[in-house]
Amino acid sequence: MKGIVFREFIELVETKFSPELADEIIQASNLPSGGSYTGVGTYDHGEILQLVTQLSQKTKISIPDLVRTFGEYLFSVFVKKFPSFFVEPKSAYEFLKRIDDYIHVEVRKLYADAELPTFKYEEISDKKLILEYISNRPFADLAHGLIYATIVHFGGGYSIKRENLSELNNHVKFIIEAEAA
Amino acid sequence: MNDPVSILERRLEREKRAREEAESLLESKSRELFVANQELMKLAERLEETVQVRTFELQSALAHLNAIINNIADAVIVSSPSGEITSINPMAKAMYRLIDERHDISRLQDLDDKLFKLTINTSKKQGEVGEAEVALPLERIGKASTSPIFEIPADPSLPPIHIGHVTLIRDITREKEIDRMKTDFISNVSHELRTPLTSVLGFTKIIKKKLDETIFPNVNNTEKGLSKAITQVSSNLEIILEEGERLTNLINDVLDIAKIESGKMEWQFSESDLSEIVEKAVKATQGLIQDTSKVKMSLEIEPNLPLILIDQNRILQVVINLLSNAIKFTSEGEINVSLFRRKKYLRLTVSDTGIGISPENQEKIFEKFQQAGETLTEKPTGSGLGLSISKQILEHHNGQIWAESELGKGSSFIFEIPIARLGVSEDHHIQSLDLESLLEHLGDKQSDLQKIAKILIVDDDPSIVELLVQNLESNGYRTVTASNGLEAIQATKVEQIDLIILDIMMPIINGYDVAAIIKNDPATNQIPIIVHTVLEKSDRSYKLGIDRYITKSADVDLLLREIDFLLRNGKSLRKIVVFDEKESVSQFLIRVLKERGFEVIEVSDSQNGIDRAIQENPDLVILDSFISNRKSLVRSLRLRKEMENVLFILLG
Repeated sequence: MKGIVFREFIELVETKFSPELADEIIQASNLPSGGSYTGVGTYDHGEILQLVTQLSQKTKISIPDLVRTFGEYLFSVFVKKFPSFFVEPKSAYEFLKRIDDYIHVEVRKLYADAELPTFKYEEISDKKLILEYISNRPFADLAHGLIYATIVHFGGGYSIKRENLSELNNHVKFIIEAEAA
Repeated sequence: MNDPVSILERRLEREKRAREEAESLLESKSRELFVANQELMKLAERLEETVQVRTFELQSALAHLNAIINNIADAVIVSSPSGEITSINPMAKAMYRLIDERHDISRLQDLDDKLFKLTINTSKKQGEVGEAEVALPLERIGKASTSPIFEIPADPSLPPIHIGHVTLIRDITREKEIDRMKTDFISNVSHELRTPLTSVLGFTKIIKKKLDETIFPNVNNTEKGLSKAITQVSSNLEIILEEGERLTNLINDVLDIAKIESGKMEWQFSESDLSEIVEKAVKATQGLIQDTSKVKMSLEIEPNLPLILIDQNRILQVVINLLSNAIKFTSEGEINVSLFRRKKYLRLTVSDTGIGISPENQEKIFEKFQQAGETLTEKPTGSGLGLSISKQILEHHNGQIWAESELGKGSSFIFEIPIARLGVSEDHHIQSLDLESLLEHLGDKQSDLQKIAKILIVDDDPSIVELLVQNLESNGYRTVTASNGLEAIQATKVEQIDLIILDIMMPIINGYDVAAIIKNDPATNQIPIIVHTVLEKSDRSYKLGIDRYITKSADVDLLLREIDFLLRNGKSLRKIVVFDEKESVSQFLIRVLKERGFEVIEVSDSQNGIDRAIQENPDLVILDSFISNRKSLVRSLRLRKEMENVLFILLG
């Protein structure tokens, strides 16, 4: 997993909770990297799982909720860091449909070794989009948070239903529907 | 340990490590980039080298190809699919005497329309070749072969693309010359053969006649030995005559094949009804069936067959050949002739229930001088050239011929001629003359010859002279002989000659020149001249005012008939066939012509009329303007071999 995710996670813990809590979960985890991350480096995704687990224990907030919140936060980071991705798409649908074909292609130019999930989509109508998350790693909640933040970014008005296709949390169908006005 | 300072210290420590890691990552990325760049440059260099090597290879391959094309002994002309010439090789320039290539290409295009048509007409199918003879400057002859060029696309699933034509032209002037010499040689040899053969057959006929009419009746044939000898002599003479005829036919066949092979055969293509030709052939050969109770001939023709472009006489020759073969080898059973349309062909089948041909002989029989069967044990009949000639004739019609047969059960000979037009037949030039100059040309001088006719025989071959003398004298004529032209001219001056029989090929002065002198002298120009030669009738004979033209053969009766006719009419006169529909209109003309001593035959515009006109072998054909389909009538007449030197006059 790319170092930027770790950095932003620690950044989130430091700002939302406290630098002390951030230091505490790092110390409590058994991290090969020792908890020092650079955005351009690559680290074992197990480290983030440990950090999230520690955070969950310390804060008594469930892991899925934490990860989803992290996803929402990560989206705002992306908006700041990669503004070009957000120029063209005019709606959440438009943006979500381009994840595999455009956004991930661009990401790979920066991080050639990035292991990215796939987002297959099926457009049922102009009011219903099915987005299928397939990954080697169990970060469906992160995807959930990102999708949610995307909808909010483009003005909201859509509901997200989630259908787990695997117990490992790595294969999920998100049904994104326009809410009745 | 969890005091704010320690936390900060640890945080700082982590940031420091992260920074160092980022720096070393950056350094290693830089190194990677440098190495990658280095490799890229090497790759580019190698690519450049490869391109250079390939370019050089291509250039030398191209130079190699160019060298081949530039040094090829044939002219190479490349043209676009629309027939526009795009490039030519040096040999083409030399052959067409071109200097500046740029505007020479367009000149060549204008220069050689035939080449252009050949290119355009050549099929766009791979592997097909169009051929034609083309005229080159300085009276040279070229043989052009054009084939379409196909480019194979890089993608093998796509079909080849037709990108134009390539034409090769070979100067065949010398080959043509050699060929001409060969044909001349063969025709000379056959002349040399025909002349003695005419004597042999002629004298044999005289001997036979004399024996039959004068000697045998006066022999006391009660004596057994003598009677047997008479029978034997008669049958021996019969054999000599039969074999002589066979030899004559063989020579004719050899001449035919020599002509076809040398391209000297004059083909006369016309739109024709093949069914008519087949019917004619059946009619002509029915008489050859020995025992009509044992052999039946049947004919089946599909109605409404299209006309096809053929040489009628040659195809008739083929059909007659097939039918006479069938008759010859069928002693019992049936001979079935059928003519049907089969796709783009007309197919004729001649099937018999004869002796059949073994599989190994089925291919051989179309070769020259090949006959089925054991030549050592079976007496061959015919020249063995008939099927070979037939095959060549059909090939000239873009058709084909083959045999299907089972030994002992019978044979089928099948030929197919394409219905598609072979090309435009050459339009024969029709001469128009006004009547006045014609009459002047034909001459209308009266003369009085009511005494025993004296005939001048002019021939350098003493045997022929002797043969004619004996034949004529036995028919009550007086004869004078001359062995060359000078003697002949001399004879006309000192003697009262009533008719001249004139050979053409003679030493010192040839027959045509003799005729020219005699016909131009007012003292002798009324003497009828019969040309008696081995040569084919030529235009010149008509222009010179020769009255009859007879090809040397043993047919003495024909010669005697013509002599009798010419003498009975007492003057040099010619045979004229008049085609007329509304009789009254041409009656005046016919009367005038008859008064002036011409033999006039009136015929109507019908198949009968055409057949009659050909039979009469006229010197002149006159067609009235009221004949509705005059043009096509003239065409169908002119295309007949017998009529090729006949003058046609169209009345306006």
